[in-house]
Amino acid sequence: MLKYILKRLGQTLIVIVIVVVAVFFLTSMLPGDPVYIIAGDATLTPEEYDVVYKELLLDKPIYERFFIWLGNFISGDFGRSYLYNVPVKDVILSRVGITVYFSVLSLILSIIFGVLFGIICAVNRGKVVDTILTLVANIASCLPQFWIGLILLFAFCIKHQILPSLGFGWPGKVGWATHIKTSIMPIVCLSFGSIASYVRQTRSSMLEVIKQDFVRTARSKGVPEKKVIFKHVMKNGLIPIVTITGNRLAMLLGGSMFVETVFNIPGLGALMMKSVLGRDIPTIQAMVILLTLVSCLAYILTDVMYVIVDPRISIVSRRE
Amino acid sequence: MSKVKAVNPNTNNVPKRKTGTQRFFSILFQRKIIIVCCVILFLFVFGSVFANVIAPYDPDDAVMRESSQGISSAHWLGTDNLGRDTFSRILYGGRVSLAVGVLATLVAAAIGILIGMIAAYFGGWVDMVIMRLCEAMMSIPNIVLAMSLIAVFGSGLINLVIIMGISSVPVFVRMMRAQALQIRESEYIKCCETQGAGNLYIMFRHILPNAISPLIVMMTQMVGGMILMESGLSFIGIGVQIPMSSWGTMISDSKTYLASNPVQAISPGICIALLVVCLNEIGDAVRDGLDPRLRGEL
Repeated sequence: MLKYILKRLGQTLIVIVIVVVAVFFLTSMLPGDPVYIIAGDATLTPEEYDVVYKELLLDKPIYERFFIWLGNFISGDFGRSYLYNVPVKDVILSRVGITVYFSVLSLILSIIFGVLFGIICAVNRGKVVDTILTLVANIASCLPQFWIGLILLFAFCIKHQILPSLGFGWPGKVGWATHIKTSIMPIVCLSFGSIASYVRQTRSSMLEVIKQDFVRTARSKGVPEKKVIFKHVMKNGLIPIVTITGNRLAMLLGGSMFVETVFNIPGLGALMMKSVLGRDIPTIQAMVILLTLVSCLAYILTDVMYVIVDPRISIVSRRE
Repeated sequence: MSKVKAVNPNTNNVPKRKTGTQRFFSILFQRKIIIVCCVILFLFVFGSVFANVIAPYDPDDAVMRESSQGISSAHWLGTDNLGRDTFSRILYGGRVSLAVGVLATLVAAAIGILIGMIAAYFGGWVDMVIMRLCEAMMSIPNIVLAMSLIAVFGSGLINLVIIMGISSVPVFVRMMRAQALQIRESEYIKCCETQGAGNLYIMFRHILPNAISPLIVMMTQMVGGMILMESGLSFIGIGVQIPMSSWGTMISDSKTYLASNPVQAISPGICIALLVVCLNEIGDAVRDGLDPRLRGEL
């Protein structure tokens, strides 16, 4: 097990090295002179231009710049954000909490509701409940997240003024009531699509297990139906859930981009979007590498979870 | 007295053996909902291909005195803040959304199939390098990869299609490689090799046709995802650019006028959802029709 994890970490390291190199050289190709991006609309004298030019090390050859940048990056200095004019690290640290908070909360809600509805569908296969839930889940997984957000805004802020439209505050600052009010819509919006994918996955994998021999045996020897479903079927049927949870974890920091944009929440997704629009190179570099790291770790975690959840899977056979 | 039905030996009850195509279509339309989906898909395709004939107004014709109207008989879906007819804009926007979705999928498939084939066929360090690069690309979330590439190479319709395609290449590479590795071991490929067939000949005349069905399934299933991705990128403002507009840009434009004119935001979203649902359902049906064994894998 340990050997396997070490091997996966080694592979991941190669992946990250590729991403880091690609990110640096691609962002160096960005059109537009970084000096002018920083200056914004201000006009520069040639002397001022030279100062910033030297500060950005643009007078040095690209490979030299790469190693200086890499050294800074590893020691935790991601450069200065062009848009905010503060270190990128500070920008990211000030926003990461909100995004993790929303993503984790929505993940927990999606697992609870998604698995619950999925089981209801599988148990009542072919009945009205199943048909309706499956249909809703199929449609819900195709709705663009930002559109759901706009519809929610329209329904609950504009038509019926029940919820405040924008902004976010931690409970310590604005009090619990406001905090909950401002978080309901983003969380519903964020969870909608992932509940749908949990429902679909749970339903199909439960149905796959229900038709297997050991379930028939359990039923024929008189095990109560509830026990068959909750003990025999669920234990085996929930393994594929690990896969989706892994995928969701991989999107932990980047998945809430649209929701953050629509509801004006100052999180990492909104930062990513703003930095792409504003060509904020250091922030783009740091964000892409951060998101890659998170998703690599999530995939390793998924593989390890598989083995823990399902002892029949041996790591060696899964890889071959 | 019971009547015994006369059995005509010539019209026996054993159903005729279906040909491959017949079997494909009978499984495809097994579920009645697929027919509905096909009709809706046809309407969307028809509407966007013949947008210039069907659309009652010019989609770019801004008539300020008719701005921000609701649903009426003159403007079926109202007008936007500039007085442009929403129904006409949806028809033209569908053209862009569908075209981008299909073309991006084709780009992804074409590049992916080629690279996957090369990886499987040549093996060794070529394979190693290609697979590591794929892993690196897959470790960056899809939309983030597309966004970053757009930041580097700029937006614009052709760039958008190519970038969206490239961000989805790794899935095709992996699938093609897996298929090709399996087929390469077959006897008939060995036979071809001993007969002196060239690499390219074997790759495109023997391996590709035998590997194509899961790839086709994957393509049909990907178009919907591509349309969603395009709408997302356009919503952010880095996808389809003015003067063109897609459903995503329409939603993006309308978000400022949500209070006064909700139809503007709702209608393109419904179009996206309907189209993507239909495409996904048809994709699943095509999978079952082409190769039922793929169920659960794709």
